[in-house]
Amino acid sequence: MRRIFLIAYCLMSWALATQAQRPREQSRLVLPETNPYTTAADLEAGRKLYVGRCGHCHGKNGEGGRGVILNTGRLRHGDSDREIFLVIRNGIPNTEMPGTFSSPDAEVWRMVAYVKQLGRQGAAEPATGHPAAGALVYQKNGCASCHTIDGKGGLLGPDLSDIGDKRAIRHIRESIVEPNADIPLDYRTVEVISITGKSSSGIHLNEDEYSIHLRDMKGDLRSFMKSELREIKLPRESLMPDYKSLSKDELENLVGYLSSLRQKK
Amino acid sequence: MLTLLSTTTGQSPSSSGLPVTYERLLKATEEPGNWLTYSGDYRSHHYSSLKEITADNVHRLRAEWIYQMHRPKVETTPIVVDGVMYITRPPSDVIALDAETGRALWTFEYRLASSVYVCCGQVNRGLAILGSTLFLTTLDAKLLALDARTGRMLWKKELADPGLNYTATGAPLVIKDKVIAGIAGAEGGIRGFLDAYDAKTGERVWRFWTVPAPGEPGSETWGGDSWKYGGSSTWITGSYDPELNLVYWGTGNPGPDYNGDVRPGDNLYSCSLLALDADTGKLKWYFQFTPHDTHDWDATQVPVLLDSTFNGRPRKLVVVPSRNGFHYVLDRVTGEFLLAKQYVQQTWAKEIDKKGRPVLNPNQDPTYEGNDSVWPGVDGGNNWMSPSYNPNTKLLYFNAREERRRYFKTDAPEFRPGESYFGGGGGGGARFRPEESWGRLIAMTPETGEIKWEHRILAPPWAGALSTAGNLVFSATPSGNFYALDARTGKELWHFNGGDRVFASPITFLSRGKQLVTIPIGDILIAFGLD
Repeated sequence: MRRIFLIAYCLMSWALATQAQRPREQSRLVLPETNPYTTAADLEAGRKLYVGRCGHCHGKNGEGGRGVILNTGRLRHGDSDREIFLVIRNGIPNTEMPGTFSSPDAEVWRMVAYVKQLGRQGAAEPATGHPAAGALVYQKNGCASCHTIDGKGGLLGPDLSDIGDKRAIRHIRESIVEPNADIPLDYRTVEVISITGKSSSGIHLNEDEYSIHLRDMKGDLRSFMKSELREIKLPRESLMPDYKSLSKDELENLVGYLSSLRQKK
Repeated sequence: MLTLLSTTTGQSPSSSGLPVTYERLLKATEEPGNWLTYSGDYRSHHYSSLKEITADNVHRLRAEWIYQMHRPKVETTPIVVDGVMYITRPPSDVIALDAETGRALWTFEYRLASSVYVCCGQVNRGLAILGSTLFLTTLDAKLLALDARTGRMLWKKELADPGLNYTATGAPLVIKDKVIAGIAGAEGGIRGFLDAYDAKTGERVWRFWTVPAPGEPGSETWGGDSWKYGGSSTWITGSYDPELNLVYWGTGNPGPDYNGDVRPGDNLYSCSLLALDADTGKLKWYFQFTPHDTHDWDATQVPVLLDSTFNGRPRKLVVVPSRNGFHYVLDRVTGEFLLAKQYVQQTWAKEIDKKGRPVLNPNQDPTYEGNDSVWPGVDGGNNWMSPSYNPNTKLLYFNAREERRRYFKTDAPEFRPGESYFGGGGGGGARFRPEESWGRLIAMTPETGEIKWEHRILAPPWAGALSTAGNLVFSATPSGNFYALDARTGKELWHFNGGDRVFASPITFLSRGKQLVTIPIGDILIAFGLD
């Protein structure tokens, strides 16, 4: 049995939308290095903005969830006022984090102020497991058959090289024991069954009204015409099995190991 | 060049190229080889009696030509006059194309004012024509008149100050000797209006403010000074009944979009259909679909005029599948509410009462934390894309958008030039779960709201529909597939992968006697004909 280990790492969006798709505004040409909106009133306004726009992915207190942790002060795309502003304004390419293209600068700056405050809180829960022991659990359970760390491993699951920067302890633990709780959109499972009854499963890559494309269990890219399929199943289940069978120590050590994986400077 | 094209297109004797008189506009359906107004005719049927391309031979459709614009989000609906196609290109350019080859005859490039606030892309949806003059609105809130033979500008008038977040994206509508032009910018805190201009001089003839000032009828529906930034824009082309001399035009959301606390009341005439005297701009009647909207459900859908029967009695009707998720039937003489029927999933209204007013469900407004229980989404059950009414099948075809979205509000914004005036947002969360958002092309009996058949597509669409006497319905998907269905049954007959999203409506016309169908896909305009 293939051991598959998927950990949610998507950043969830708060996309603004009204009549249609939002345009990508030009980044402001003249942008202060430091936040001009840092009064107590600005922070309170920033908190309200954050809760509505960001909280459902990043957690109301920045504890993380489907979005990255914001309460440790470690921000992967820079922690200066200006850098945080640009991330909130423009989003992050190749992630689900969109920009706030139509928001006034003042609103973005107030969110910057609140995000900075969140970063001073510290992680809600420290890791207690031993990373070295956790690395053995990772190896023993064949996690690398699907996941990559520092360029080594399989392609079916998310790259875990810096998962410790992205996800809270709670979220990492949940992803191990309940992988169906939150499946990243880029890692949705699909099964197609041909008219002759042949089944193919994998990760859903793309689809339109006439064709569907997936990465199969071997990591190969596959395309199917819907007219040649009998059925398409999109189960709300991750390809990753749950690891409830791990002992408490094994689980916490594995969590400790994963949370120690950080972006290389 | 134009003379050559006009004499070689092999079209009916009544079509002699320019000028396009008002009389020709009145009888636009008698020139099926041309497409003379935004919606094809004053009733906005977006239908063609051409039938060279039929349900039997549509599988032979092949690309004839492509015109590349290299601009994002092309939303134009062309005007076609005897072999010449006039289109707009983002942000506010105009191009005359040889409709047979797709080659440009002339190009008018317009330079915008340096600072323009837009909420939703640098788009333009098309033109109007009268005589030998083309009319368009620009993103910096101007109304332009161009010589259709050369592209030279004849006059330019300011609709409103773009520095105060006014913008314009819709195609004007010519009625008699006037050009009716709408405004956009309700996401920026404008006060909306609809204008009429003298086609020859560009002088403004009338203006109807869609947000009444204090003391005017309807002003009691706005609390405090909220009317000053009340939105209610007019960014989609309306319809016209020459017998009643009434122009029908939809209005947009009130501002701020998502925080209604600062504008207590129904907020007239936002999210409404207006019936205005075409000569004076005076209000004959209005119908508000969504009083005190907090979900950005503009009523800027194209109103479709039908002479039909309702409950066995002949009636002059106007029908609107509204963005709020209900299809409405009104008497277009009086504005009397006749029927509302839900056509997409919706959670906000228990029902529409006998007077046409929604009975609200609790807990459906945006919240500071975000309310993700609301259907339809912020882009609505329907939007601005053109519906099509086919007199043969007697069905109304339009794209419906099924999605749940997350609505949140923020503190009420202050109006600032160059900045948005949302007071919140609507997006994220469930929208991105594919199984919770999809599209349907609906074939509906418009007088009853009964759905005869539907064609499901993967994602909520932004394309309009075109139906033809060839028993066909054309439309397109967000994944870039342009397709044709049997108008009677919904059976899919043909498709073409254009490879980019579609934010536009198809049209059809004759080129040298051959029927072509065209639609913008991504940043191209592509024309198809039988091989």
